[in-house]
Amino acid sequence: MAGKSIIDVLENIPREIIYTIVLIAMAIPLIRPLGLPVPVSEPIRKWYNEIESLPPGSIVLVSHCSLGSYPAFDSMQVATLHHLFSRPVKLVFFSIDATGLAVYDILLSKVDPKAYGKVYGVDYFHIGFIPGGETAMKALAEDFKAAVPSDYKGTPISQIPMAANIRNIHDFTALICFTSAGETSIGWIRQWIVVRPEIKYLCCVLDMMLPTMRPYYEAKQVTVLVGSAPGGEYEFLLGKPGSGIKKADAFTGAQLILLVFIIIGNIAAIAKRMGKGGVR
Amino acid sequence: MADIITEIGIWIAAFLTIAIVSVVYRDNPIFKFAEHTYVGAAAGYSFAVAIGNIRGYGIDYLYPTLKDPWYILPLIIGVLMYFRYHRTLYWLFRYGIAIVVGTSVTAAFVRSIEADFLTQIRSTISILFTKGDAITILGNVVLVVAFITSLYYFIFTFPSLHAGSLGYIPRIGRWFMMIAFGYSFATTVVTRIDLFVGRLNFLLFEWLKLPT
Repeated sequence: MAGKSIIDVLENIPREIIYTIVLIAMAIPLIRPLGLPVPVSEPIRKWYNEIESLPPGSIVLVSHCSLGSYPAFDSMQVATLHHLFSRPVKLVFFSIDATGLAVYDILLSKVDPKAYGKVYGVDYFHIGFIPGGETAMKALAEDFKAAVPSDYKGTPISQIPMAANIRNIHDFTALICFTSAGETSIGWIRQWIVVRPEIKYLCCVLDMMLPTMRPYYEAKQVTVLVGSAPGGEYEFLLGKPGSGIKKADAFTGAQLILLVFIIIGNIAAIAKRMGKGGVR
Repeated sequence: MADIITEIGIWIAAFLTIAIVSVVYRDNPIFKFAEHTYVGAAAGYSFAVAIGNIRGYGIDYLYPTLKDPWYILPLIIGVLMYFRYHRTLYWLFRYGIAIVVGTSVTAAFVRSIEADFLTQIRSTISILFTKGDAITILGNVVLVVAFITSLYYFIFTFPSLHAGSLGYIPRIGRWFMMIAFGYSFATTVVTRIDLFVGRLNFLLFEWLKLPT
């Protein structure tokens, strides 16, 4: 440390120390929740209202996330399923990613459809993973039964009662998508919303994708756009506390610490520049 | 028995989570092991799912009863891909690739003009005619200024458009772009925190079983 000014020290804090402090800032609120208020943001309220206003008997396509991004979408997906199963609507689950089928199993281990009186094949079913990305979306829109020969368990589609009423995109009222891939969230717009703009498109993406998706929302191609982080707000609104509310405090703690480090870094950088002859 | 298997699964998941996170200290063999395990497991899982799809979307239509002979076509296209490894007939694989890529690009491109261009342009122009309170109007004006100045920044054909007093326009555009990049970077950090809090939640309450 000899010969180093405090500004040098602040500018060169070892990353191991920064990460350790961030880890502690996240772990403490998880173990001992701070009970910070959970204000419900406008997009989450809109998400809730759109699901609440789905007419009885509506058929909703739920395109869930891949296994790799599950930790981010956990609370939003679980809360959404609680809400959807509590409503008199029919659900068609779909996985655009091969690893997504494992996510469906995890989701159903957390949300029991039977608790809501829902029966597989009558109120909901899973069409599995269909390869092809956008071509799969297009195929589903044009001829549902041709694109889906069987459900994810291998049961022929003709033996699933709920599927009898589904011919193509015109039989769906809403599309709910959870994804960490831009080509998926935008692909649904290209293959579904352009064809049938009346469909309500509820899109939940990683927060880092929000700037990319925002223009589509402003152009009304997306009905509701939310990030994956505010799952706690939705749980709070639903009255179903889960991992999201618990994570909210940890999330705030980590962001506060990062804010402190950003301020320290900027103060050090400005002070150094001033020492060298003024701020540029 | 099921509990023991679940518990072993939790321990493996916890070990792999810690191994992956250990990279923030520095690159190390445990991280490499976890990284390769993840890639291998994902590839293996995808392979098994792919085999299921070849059956579901191909073979089941042809055998044991011939339901639809057209389903032979995707199988042939799939087989063409493997000619890549043949010394003399390797060129056949290009047909397989061409059909797959051509189909995907066509599906995306046809609708892309409407979804990604026309609707966006319509939406931006309509902002100018949107009625609302003072804040909304101010926001719309800022958006239109940001749009025009950012677009102007990328006009490189005529250098004179960036010189003199006109030079302020691309400079304003650059500021707007910097703000947009800053927002983008901030949301990336938020996403990383979100992902990590999820794993930390798992380690503390499912692995270490701390009281909730």
